[in-house]
Amino acid sequence: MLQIVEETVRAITPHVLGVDAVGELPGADLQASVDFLADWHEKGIPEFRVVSNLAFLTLNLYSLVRKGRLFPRLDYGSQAALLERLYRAKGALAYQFLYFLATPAVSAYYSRVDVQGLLGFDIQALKEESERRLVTRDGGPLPPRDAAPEAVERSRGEGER
Amino acid sequence: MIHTRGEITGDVRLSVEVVVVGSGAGGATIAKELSEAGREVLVLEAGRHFTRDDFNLRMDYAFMNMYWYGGQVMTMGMPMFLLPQGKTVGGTTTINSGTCFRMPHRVLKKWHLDSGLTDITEEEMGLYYSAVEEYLFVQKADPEVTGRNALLFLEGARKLGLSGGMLARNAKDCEGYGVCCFGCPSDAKQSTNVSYIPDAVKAGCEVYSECMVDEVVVRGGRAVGVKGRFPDTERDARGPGIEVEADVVVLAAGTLHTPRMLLVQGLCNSSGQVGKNLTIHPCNGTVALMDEELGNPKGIPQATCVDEFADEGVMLEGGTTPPLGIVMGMPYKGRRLAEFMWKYPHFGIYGGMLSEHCSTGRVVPHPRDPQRHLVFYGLKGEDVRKFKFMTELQAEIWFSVGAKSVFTPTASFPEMRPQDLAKFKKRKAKASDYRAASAYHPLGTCRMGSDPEQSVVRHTGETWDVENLFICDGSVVPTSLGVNPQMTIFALAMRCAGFVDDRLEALAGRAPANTGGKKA
Repeated sequence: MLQIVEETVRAITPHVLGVDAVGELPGADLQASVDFLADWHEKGIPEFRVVSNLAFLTLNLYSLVRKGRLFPRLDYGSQAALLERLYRAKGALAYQFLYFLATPAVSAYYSRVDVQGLLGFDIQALKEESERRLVTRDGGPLPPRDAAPEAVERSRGEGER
Repeated sequence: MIHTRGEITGDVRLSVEVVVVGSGAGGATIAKELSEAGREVLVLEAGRHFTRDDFNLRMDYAFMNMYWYGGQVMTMGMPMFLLPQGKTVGGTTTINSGTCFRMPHRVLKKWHLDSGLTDITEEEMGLYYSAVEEYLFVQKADPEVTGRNALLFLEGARKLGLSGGMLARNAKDCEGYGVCCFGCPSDAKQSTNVSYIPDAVKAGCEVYSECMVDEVVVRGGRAVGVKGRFPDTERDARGPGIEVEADVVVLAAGTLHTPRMLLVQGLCNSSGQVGKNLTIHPCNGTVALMDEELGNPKGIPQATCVDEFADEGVMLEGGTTPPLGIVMGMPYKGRRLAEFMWKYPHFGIYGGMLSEHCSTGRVVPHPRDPQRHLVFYGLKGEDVRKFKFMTELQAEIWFSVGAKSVFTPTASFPEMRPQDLAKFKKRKAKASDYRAASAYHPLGTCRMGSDPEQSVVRHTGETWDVENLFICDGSVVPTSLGVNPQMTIFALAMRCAGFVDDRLEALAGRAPANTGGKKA
C-alpha cells in the first residue's frame, strides 16, 4: 500500500467514525482500518483497488489545492472542514468517492466483535449457542432450548433418514 | 472425498464418466443424482470447503472469503448493483437466505410460448420440486424464531390490506441466528455443502475444491474433458494443473462464470446468445427507526414477504443484516453516523426486489483478464418506476407501524419522515437517484430453448453446438422467474441428471441416444 494512502486512512478514520462520546462506543483503531484496506485490496477486483487508491490520492490533491498541504499533514480542524465540504457535495460520483474513502474506517470498526456486541449483536454468544444446537440431517428434531445438552446429543441419533 | 488445496502438491490427471464444474444448486444436485445412480463423478469447485466451524457469524470474514472477489462483483450501468456471488463448496447456496419458491405457473407458460420449452411440463416439474422440498426440509419459517422485525413489517402490510406471509425455506430446526448469508453456524440451512455434496461424496463422488477450470476440451465436436489448475494464491502463481478426461462435461459454474468460460473459448455460441439475456433481481432496502428494540439481526433474516404486487414484478422480502451491512450504505460521517448506528437496536430492516422486469444485461469476459467477467446491466423504462415504488411501499408499511423515520438508499430522500412520503411519491423516478443497491439471482446467460438460433442449450441441458457438454445452473433459465430461483435450479438439475445418465448409457452402447431435439 502506498505510504500516503496508509497515512490518509489513519487520518480520515476518526473523522468518518466520530465515535467519541457516542453511547459506549469504543475509540477507533487506526491500524485496523489500514489492515482492512490491505485485505480488501488483496481479495477484491483490481479495479476497486485502483479506484480506492485514486480516491485517497484525489483527497490529497484536493487538500493540496485548497489548503497547500497533504491531508494527513493538516491539523484536525482543517481536515474536518475539508471533509465537511466534500460530504455536502451531491451526486452519484461524490457518493461513490466518499464511499471509497469511508469504507476502510467503517468496515473495520463495525466488524469489531465488541462494537457489534454493544449494538446488540453478540457474535460470541450466538456462536456458542449455535454450537450447542447443531443440526444434523439424520437427527430427530432438536429438543426445547431449555433441555439438557444430553437431550440435544440424543436427538442426533433419532432421525429416520 | 472432498480434497482441499493443501493436499495438492503436483499436477493431477483423472479419468471419469462425468466431470461437473461447480458445486452450487446445479452442480451439487447433478453430482449427487449421478453418483447415486452409480456413475463415476468428479466435481471441480473454485471455492474453498467451509464447514460450520468456519462460519463465525462475521459478515466481513464471509465477504472476504466466501464471496467472489471479496463481494465486489458490481454491474456496470445505472444504477450500479452489487451482485454478490458465493465462492464455496456449495456455491451461492452456502451464503444465500434459503428462500424457496416453485416457479409460478405464468412463468412456465411463458417458457412454453416464447422459448418452445413444451417438453418441460408443470407435472414433471412438480415431481422434481416435491422431491427437492422433501430432501431439503423445505418448510415455512417458524414465527417462533423469525424475530420481531419480520413480523412487525408483515403486521404493517396487513394493516394496509396488503397480502403477504411466511416464506418457505430449506432449513431444518432453524433457530434464527440471523446470518444465513455468511454461512449457517448450526447447519440448519440445507445449502448444498451440508446436503447434496455430502450425499454425493457418500455415493463415491470426488470433489476438488479451490480448483479453477480454464478450458473445456473439445474433440471432433464433442466435449471430452476439462483442464484447469489449483491457483497458488499465496504466491499469486498458477499452481499445479489438473486434466480430466470425461465422457460428459457438465458446466455448473453459475450464470456469470459459465458464459465467461464459453466466450473465452469461443464455444457454443453459434446462436450469438452466450452471455446475453442476463436477468437479475435488482433490490433496494430500507431502514426504519422504531421506538421499540427489534433485536436484529437475531431471527431469520428473510422470513416474511409481501406479495401483493408480485404479478406486477414487485416482491418485498425481509432482509435483516448486521450493523456492518447497514453502515456501508449510509451517506453520513462523524458524530451523525455514530449516533445513527447507536440506534441499531431500534432499526427495522426490510428489502424489496424487482422480481419481473423488462431490463436485461450481458456478461462478457474481462478484456485483460479472461478469468474474470464484466457484467453490464441498467434499469430501463418502467423498471425504474417500479424500483422507486418498492421504496415507497416499504416506507409506507414502516410508517403504518409507527416508524419515526425511514432511511432510503436514494439521494433525494436519504431520511424520510411520514410527511415526506407524499412528496417522494410525486417525484419522478430516476435510476441515478439510487446510491446503494444490490441485486441477486442472475439467470439466463446460456438460455434454454427449442430454437438453436435463439438459445444455447436444449431442454435437456445439452448445448446445441457441442455434444456431451451440458449446462446445469442458473444460466440456462430462460427468463426471470419472478421468485427466488434456487428451487428451480435444483429441479432442473435433477431433470438434467436423467438426460446425462441416458447419454452415458448411449455412449456405452446400452441405449439409443436422446438428443433432446435436432439442430437444423
